[in-house]
This record gives sequence, structure tokens and C-alpha cells, in this order.
Amino acid sequence: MTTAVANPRSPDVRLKPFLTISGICHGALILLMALAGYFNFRGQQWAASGGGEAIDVKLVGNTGLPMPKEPSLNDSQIVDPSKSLWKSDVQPEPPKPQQQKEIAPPDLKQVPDFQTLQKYNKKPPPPPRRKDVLGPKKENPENAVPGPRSGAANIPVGPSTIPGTSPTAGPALQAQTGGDFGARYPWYVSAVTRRLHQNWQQNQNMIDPAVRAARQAQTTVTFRIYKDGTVKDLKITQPSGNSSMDNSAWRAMLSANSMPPLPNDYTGSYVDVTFTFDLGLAQ
Amino acid sequence: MLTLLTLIPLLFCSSSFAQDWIKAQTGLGAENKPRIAVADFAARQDATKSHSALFTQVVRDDLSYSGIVDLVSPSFYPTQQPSVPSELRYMDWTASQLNSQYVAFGNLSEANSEVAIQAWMFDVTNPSSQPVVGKVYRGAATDDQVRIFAHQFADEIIMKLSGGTPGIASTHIAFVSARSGHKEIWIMDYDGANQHQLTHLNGIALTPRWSPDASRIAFTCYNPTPEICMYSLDANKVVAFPKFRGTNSAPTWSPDGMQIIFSSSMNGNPELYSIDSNGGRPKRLTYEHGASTSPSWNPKTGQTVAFVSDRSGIPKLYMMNSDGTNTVALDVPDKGYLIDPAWSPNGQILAFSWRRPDDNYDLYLMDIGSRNIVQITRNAGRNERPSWAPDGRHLVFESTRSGTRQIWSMLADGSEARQLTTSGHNESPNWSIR
Repeated sequence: MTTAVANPRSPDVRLKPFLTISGICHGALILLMALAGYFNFRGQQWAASGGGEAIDVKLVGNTGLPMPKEPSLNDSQIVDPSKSLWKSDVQPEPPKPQQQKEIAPPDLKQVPDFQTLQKYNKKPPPPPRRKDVLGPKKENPENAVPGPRSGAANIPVGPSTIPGTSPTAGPALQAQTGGDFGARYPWYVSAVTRRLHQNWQQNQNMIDPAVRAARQAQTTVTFRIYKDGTVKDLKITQPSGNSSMDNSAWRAMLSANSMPPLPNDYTGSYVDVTFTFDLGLAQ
Repeated sequence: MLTLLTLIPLLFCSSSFAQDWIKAQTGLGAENKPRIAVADFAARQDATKSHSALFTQVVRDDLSYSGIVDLVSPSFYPTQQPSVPSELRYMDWTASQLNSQYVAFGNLSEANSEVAIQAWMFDVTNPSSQPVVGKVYRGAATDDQVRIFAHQFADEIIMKLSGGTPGIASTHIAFVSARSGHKEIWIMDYDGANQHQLTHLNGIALTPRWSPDASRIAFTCYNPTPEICMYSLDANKVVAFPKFRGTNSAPTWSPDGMQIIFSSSMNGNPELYSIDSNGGRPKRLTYEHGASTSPSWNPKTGQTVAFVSDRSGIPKLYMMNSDGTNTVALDVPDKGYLIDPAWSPNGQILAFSWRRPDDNYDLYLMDIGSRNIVQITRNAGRNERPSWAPDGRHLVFESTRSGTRQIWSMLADGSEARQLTTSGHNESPNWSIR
């Protein structure tokens, strides 16, 4: 049997240098791999030493949780520049007369009697005089000290603007009612109006500043209050045309998801309410 | 027979039923608070005079401090004041110098050490209307009981006139007082009356926090090291709660009352842990260097917790989810220490105490959505540890403005600050839900 054997002593085939070079290259490769592995994964080593429990990292989208806003590069918010002495817009125009509002149509399921029909046919009341009592509306005369007049804080949320002095009570809140609910329970109507007024104040920041300054937009909503105070059938029946205004009115309604229960001695089971959020009103 | 059948439907359309409806509107201007007068409640017997005066005074104080109504000054009241509805003369009260829209009145009578109080509230701008509130209260003829009834009546009025905001007249405030020689947990009515001691541990008790159903108070007690302790108002004593190594303090309750988050250094660094409110194993929430403490759980959503941490070098406010994830810093546009965060009941505003570089500790409010900040105390001593009332309109806090550290309350815009405690050293108040 013949075996091919490399002749180690052949002068023209020398293995040693090639073996050496091969060894060096292989060694370098292995060293590189080891180094790469060490540098890539050494972070993991450190994390594992920090305690037994994994840190849960979730990708949280805007799923409706109250996520804090990204910090924005605003100036200091403690001094609100929009309340400074220098105001860019001039006196607002004198108050417009109250526009003719749609009166809710009579309930056609029952044949309304003549008395009831009379109510729906009568003229709307004259525009409220409250706005004219102090003369044409003047935001801030040139040298007036700016700021809230009732000690209300500048933070535009409800609790801080409610307390403090208030102007003396004017004529009763302008509200129209049908049936005899309003005649018997004007305090309930005032309470509902007051509640929605506060809720709207808390959400007023959502309104586009230009729309707010123009003081014209109105949004009308309708809803039904049941005997126990639950609110149902909420709809915007007359949008203002500006979505930020409508949204602020909607949010104001949603924060008031239940009203106080209807008065104990009221015999009906619910009351329909048509409510207007009007930027043009002084109060 | 047929005619009878045709007549039956007629029974069902008895009177014409016009569905009641309301139309109303509002602008964004300042609120028009309703004006209410509280007549002197009549005493049917001479012996009752002190109680009727007390009842009248407490109702007046409760209404004027509510921030919801304007109390017409008693100096303008007519000389003849009603004690029953038939004696009410509407014109007296709507006269120009009074200009009130509502009048509360009634009478007290006592027999066999039992008092009976009849109380009404009428809308005087509307002579034909029914009373808005009509109540009879019966109970022991003691000052304390008369106070309780007066608070209930005031709350009833506030509930009716505010359109749903609860009155706070029957609520209580827990606080820490050192007047007995040791710092113990005390309790008082929201107006400072009826202060009495709850714990008798003869050690140090701090940071009381009411549970959401007001049945228990969690607090920090030194036993001898700081631990979380639990006082049960049902049992009127301190009940058992697990103890841990290190310093354990500053409990806060979840809105459903099932869990408590507190600060503990059981693993070295003060970190936040959550635990079942009946005891159990704590679960760690924060993993940062630096101390994390003073947690406050959002009472409306239960999703977020505000707390104080000095991981950046100085105490600042942070907010994280209630499972410890997603921590964000609540940055403020100035330097200084920020401490004592407290969420408002609607979960939108954070009250805290801030020591700005040249200033004292003052109370600030931050609207979480917009990060707007407003300062509500100024130039009035050191003001710390605010706590909100359940109506979201009042705050109770500790202040050194009178020279000693005392408990004060005020409206949430900083107005009408009033001192509630006077004796000894008092601090760390917490307002209960009822």
C-alpha cells in the first residue's frame, strides 16, 4: 500500500511559515470576534446586576391616558403675557343685539292647547340689558392695572376663578322655560347654568385664541335631565363653525355628566334643556 | 259596548301635557354668585337661645366660606324675621339694600333635652315657588349636635344652589399636633372646631392620609424606626400594618382605597413601593439613585402618581404611572426645591410648595394639561403641605405666617386664608372626603 506522504525534508515545500501565518490570522480573527462580543454585550451584564425584576418598557401610545405634554419651549408661564398692559386689539365693538334664537318646536305628539301655542308664538324677550348697564364694553382702558378683577388666579381652570368678590347680583339669569318648570324652580335653572359656566371656564383654554378674542362664536347643545339627575341625549344642535369652540362646549358638557336630581316635588320625569355657550355674553 | 271601547283611550289623555323645557345660556365672564340671607333662627324657648344663635352663626359661616354663594350682611336684615314660611315677607328681602335672592330661616325648640330644628330656604325672587330646601332635624340638645345639623343644612343649600358641587361643611381635617408633648394625630371639623386627639402613641406621628372612604387614616409613626401605621376610625384605635426595614413614610391611597404607595429605604435608598392596603408584600416602583418620596396618587384617574425626587441633585417633582413606568419630570421655569405635591379632586391640578431662590416656601398650583403655574401664597411666612378639600375649591396647609407653625385653610385662588389652629405646634393637615 502506498501512502502519499509529504516529504518534510523537501527543500521546495516548506510548511512552517505558512502554518505560522495561518495560525496568526486565525488567532486574530478569533480575537476580533471575542472583542466584538465583549463590547456588544457588556451592557447586558451591567443591567442584569441591577436587581432581579425586569423593567417593563412599553410603547405607550396616546390611548386616552392622561399623558403629560412634551415640555414645550415656552417662556415662563407665571407671567402670562396675554394679560399685559399692551393689548394688540382695540376696543371691541359694542354688544350686538341678541340674535333671534330658535324656540324649541312644540311637542307634536300631543295636540298642544291654545295656551301652549301662545307661548311658542310670542316674541322673544328683548336683548338682555346687562351688557349695556356699564356702558359699551371696554376691556382695559390704557392705564388700567390689568389682571383679574375678582382676585381670581390667572390659572385658567375652574377652582381659582370662582372665589373672590363678584359684581352685585344682576337681574335673574336670562333663561326661558316651557311648561311650568322654570316658573316653579328658577333656582334649579340657575344652578345648572352656573355648573355649566364653571365647566366651560375650565375648558376655555382649548378655544382658539383668535376665536376667543373675537367674542362671537356660539354653540348650542341640547340634552335631557332625568329625575335622578342623569343626563342623556346630548347633541350639538347649532355648531359655531369652529371646531375648538365646539370641542370646548362638548368637554364642558362631558365634565358635567350628571346634574343634581330634579326637585323632589316635580311631577314630570325629565326636562329637556337647550343650552348655548356664547362667547359674546358678558357673563 | 263599542262606545265604551272608544271612550277608554280618552282616559289616557287626561290633561294636555306640555313637555317642560329650559333654554339657558352662559358666557365666559366672571360668575354671578347667588346672594343668600340667613335670618336669625328663632328660639321657641328661652333656654334654646344659645343653640339658635349657634345654629345661625354656623350656617352663616359655612355659606360665606363656601365660595359658591354671597352671604348678605346681617346688618341689613329687616327687624321682623320669619320663623315659619307663613311669616316670610318677600318684599323685605328683595329690597334694594339687601338684594338677596334666597333666604334661609327657621326655628329651634327643645324638650326633654332633645332639640327639633325646622329649617327652610326660599327663593324670594319668585313668590309662588315652593321652598328650595325644607328640613327638620332632631337630636340631642348639645352644642356639638346643633353644629352637625347646621353643617348639614348648609351643605344642603350648597348642593342645591351650586348645581352639584358637594358642600364641605361636614368634612374633617386630620393633622399633626405637638401640643400634648408628643406629635400625635388629631382631627377637627373643617372650620377648626372640635379639635381632639386620635392617637396616643407617645412617639412621633406624621403625614396623616385619609382613606378614600374616610374609614381609616394611614400615617407615619416611629416605632422606634419610621413605619407606616394605620388608624381605624371604625374601631377607634391603631390597627396592625406590616413593618419593614429602614425608613418607611409618606403613604398615599389609591382612589379605590385598595392600595397604598409609600416611600421606603428597605433596600438602601428611599424608593417608592406599593402595597395592598390590608398589608401584604410591597412591590417596588422606582429604581433611581436619589431619594423618592412624598407620593400623591391621582384621585380621579388612579393612573398617575406625582412624587418628589432628588435624583437630579435637588428635590423636584416627577410624575409616573401607578405601576412605576413612564416617569416624567414636571419642570418649572425657575430653580428651587419643589415638595409636597397634592392632586386636586378632579385630577387636573397639582398643588405643591416651592422654594424659589430668593423666596420662601410658597404654595403654587400647576394645571397638569397645560403646565401653567400660578402662585397662591405670597409674603406670608413659610407655606407647605397643601391638601385639597373634596369640592376642589379649598386648600388646607401649614403656615408660619402667624409666628408659629399652624394649620390654615383658604380658597383655591389664595383668598380668604383663615387660621384653624392656635395652640401649640400644628402641621401636616389632610382633608377628608366627609
